[in-house]
Amino acid sequence: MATFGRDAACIVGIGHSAYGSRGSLADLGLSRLALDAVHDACRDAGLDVKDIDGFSGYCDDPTWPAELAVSLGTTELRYSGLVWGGRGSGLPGAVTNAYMAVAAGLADYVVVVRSLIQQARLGQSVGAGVQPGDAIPLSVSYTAPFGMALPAAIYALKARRHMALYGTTPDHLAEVTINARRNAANNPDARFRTEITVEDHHASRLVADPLRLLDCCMESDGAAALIVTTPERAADLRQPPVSISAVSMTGEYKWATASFNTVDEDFVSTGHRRAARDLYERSGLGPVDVDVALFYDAFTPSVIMSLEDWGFCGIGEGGPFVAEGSIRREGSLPVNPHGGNLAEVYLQGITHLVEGVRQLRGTSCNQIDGAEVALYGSGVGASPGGGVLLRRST
Amino acid sequence: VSQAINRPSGMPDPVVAPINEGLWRAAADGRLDIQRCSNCGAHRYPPTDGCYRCRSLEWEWSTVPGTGTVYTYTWIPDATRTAELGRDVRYNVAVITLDGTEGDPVRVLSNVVDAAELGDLQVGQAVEAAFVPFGADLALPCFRRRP
Repeated sequence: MATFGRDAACIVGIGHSAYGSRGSLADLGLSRLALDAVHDACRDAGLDVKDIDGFSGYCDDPTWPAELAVSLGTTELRYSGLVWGGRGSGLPGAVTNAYMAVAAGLADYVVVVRSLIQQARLGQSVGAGVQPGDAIPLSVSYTAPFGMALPAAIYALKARRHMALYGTTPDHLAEVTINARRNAANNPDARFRTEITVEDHHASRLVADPLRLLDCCMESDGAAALIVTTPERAADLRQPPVSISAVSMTGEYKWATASFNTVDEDFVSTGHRRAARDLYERSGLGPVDVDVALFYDAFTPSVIMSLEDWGFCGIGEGGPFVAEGSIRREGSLPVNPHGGNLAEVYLQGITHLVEGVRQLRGTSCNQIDGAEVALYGSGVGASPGGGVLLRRST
Repeated sequence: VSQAINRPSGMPDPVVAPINEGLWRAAADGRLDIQRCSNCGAHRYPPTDGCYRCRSLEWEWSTVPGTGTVYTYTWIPDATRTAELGRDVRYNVAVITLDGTEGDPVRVLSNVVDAAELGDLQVGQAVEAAFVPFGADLALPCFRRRP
């Protein structure tokens, strides 16, 4: 494989819109939320919004770059890319596209943006990808008729086998949310700032056994944006640049629809062990160098499996690792110091990268002392996913 | 299946298409037919155009024993039946590793229709096919527990 050109792009601006509960910002519309985030990110970077000449999206985002460009006053739209597949796991792909676009000289300032307004729905539509009463696509004909209808169920199937193979417990799952809420208590932007106990977790209602309500993030409305450019341009901007050391994308081997027909290595896992290998190889860094981890945590099991897949503990040891307090901000590997999807806001991972940048600038509400390297690992349930490794520029 | 069948309420029927019609038709006849590569003999599920093992695009239906074991499972509250019956009703979604297949393990996502309570399923539980009709002369491959 060709040598990866590392540190060829950086993040120079971060921003976000207001955050709200599912559907609460629907009147504003996706474009307005996206524009709020892009304006905020440009203010942060010290850029005029019309300087944005590239757009990078994921999760089949229906927000149109051409429409955003009109409102931003962009006269030269030079790059527009949407990750093919991947759903919410596609964020590393969107960062990859922005990275490639600026490193190849296709555009000067590419914004990675995700705008989300969650639709009211009747429970069964998510996993099936359809609203109740609609005809279903062929691709979900082997899952939806059997009631595989919630994203939580995808994680539940993985978690149940993880428990059977390794002895992972509901207490381990609870610790992931306890950590998220504890961190969010200090984050003024977070939607859920009340701390919880293991008893609160176990008493919350069953969603998809072994997952309970407090294993799940809450659907949210909002938008966030990252501005990506070259290190040369970054030197002239307001903020200390954060280098994108490396990016990687991966798919689970034989992933299909609900990722149930694969092998243990990919099934009882986030499926990202190959992405971890590639990311560390490309960056020249390893788990020992990572100061803070941002893991996609729409559901608690993904954090436990991410710790294993990205090399912070042995396979099957994610449960005991969190039980020892390792992922707390005082622990050996602080995870999601902003509160993550579980407690800050669910915007499909992009807010994790916003926090990664804050940590490396030294401006987080829960700042990890001396943080120099931050890792992002995407979620499961769609392919391709992957990772991003951020490094403080020296 | 003689007892009550535990199936989720309100779920859609599958799309019947050339690539899967044989599965639903065989199920209606009481057989579990799984796609098999005509070239190398590897079974695969869900149906796909190409063989993961030898890349051949030629395939056929192959009847397998219909027995298997529970690889993993989840229990999901069934809001419709819970409201109708006035008690907590949950359905299961189980991933079954099939016996008697060639190649990588073949797993089918389905329901174990005779399991109704949280303790009724374990990873490793032995199961056998139990077919649940839909449409005209079609059925879904579901499962029930075996001793």
